[in-house]
Amino acid sequence: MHLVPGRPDPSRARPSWSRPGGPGAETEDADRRAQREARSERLHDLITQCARGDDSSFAELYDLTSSRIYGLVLRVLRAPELAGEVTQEVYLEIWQQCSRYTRDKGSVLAWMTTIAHRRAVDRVRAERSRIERDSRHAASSAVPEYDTVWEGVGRNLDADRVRRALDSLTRIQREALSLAYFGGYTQSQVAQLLGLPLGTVKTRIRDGLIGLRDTLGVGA
Amino acid sequence: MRNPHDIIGSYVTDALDSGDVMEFAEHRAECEDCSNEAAEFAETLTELTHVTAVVPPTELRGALLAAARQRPQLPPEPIRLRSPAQKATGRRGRVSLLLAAAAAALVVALGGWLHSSTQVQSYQVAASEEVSLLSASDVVVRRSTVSGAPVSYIVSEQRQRALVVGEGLAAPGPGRSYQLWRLTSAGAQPDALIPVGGTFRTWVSGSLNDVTGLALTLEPAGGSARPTTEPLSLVKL
Repeated sequence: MHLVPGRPDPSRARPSWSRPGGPGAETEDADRRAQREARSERLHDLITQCARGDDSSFAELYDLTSSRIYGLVLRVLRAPELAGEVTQEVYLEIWQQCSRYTRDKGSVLAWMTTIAHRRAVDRVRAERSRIERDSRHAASSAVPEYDTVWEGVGRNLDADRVRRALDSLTRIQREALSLAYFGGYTQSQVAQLLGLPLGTVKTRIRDGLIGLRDTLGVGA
Repeated sequence: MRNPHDIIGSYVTDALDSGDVMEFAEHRAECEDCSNEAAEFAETLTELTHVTAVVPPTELRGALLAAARQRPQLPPEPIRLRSPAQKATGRRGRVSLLLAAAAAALVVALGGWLHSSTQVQSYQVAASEEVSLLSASDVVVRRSTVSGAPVSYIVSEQRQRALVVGEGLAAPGPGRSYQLWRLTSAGAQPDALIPVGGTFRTWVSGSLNDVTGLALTLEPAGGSARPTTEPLSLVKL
């Protein structure tokens, strides 16, 4: 997965001057990328130590990542008690599985985030079908929220940078991506919620991710 | 699915509908571009969590670390079939690797099981059934992972049997069970439940006639007549 240089994809060839941030953002980008790599290496060391049963490394891994993981789980589940419970399950799975982590699974944080998202989505869907069973009215009258996530929370440089990248997407791309990733809806549910054909939703989600990837300069 | 590439976005955001999961899982295994793009998107989504970051309640840390101390860890992955070097050995090499892996998986599974059982006789019966399956000339092994835990499907059309073995499967959680499914032209047919405990070897109980694939889902305890969740693992036969 690391071996992707030069993959022919015109959407990646966006010159740096056309990226949000404008001229001069180049060195800032480079600094940030270096920082990100250093953080990522630290997480890699920690997970290697965790795999040998070192619980103090696990504690540090938690300290460095928990606001990202908990915040995501909370955003999907919206209920703090549930989010705490699911976050604990997520970290226990990570503790249990950490010897199975290898670099070809992506960065440590991406690996952890994937686990967390999967669990949060499983849980929110289970909760939704329970609510639906309990009272069909409650589910149908629930108004989904979207496109509000980008405001408030987490005022820092990284969050601002990501928020700017999100602003560069079209509204439909942002809404489709947000409902799928943070709302925990399936693509057909997203299509229904937005009143768009399924095919359109699929391409908007993907286009949104391509846009973010290129703007944020993320590689695998 | 007209263009499997279109749904990578839904795949990485866990937003695929179950029918598409099946097709895409197969496509991704074959398509390097898809794999690369999915990996890049996973990193991109990780960046996205900057905007949702929230410091968790302080009591969570202590509770978690205490729970982790009670939780045994899994050993490193025993067998790796899909490393690039092995991919390059071609089909012939792959089949023998798969067979070796199947044997290794069985040894692991049987080893764990034997430990917990004094029923040596039934062990022998079970072992001979497994040997019969493994020695079939058309035996195929389809490997998958469920949240990193290996789950392998060992199937012989000749013997009309399929065995699913796995190791280190996370607990299904209260009120839930793992369930196997046979995929047929008439849709997914319910099959055996997987016993709790992480390490298992479970025979597919229904007929393999007309079966085009096997899958594993998480269901309400006791299983369902129709899948209520998306497959955690799915293989085509």
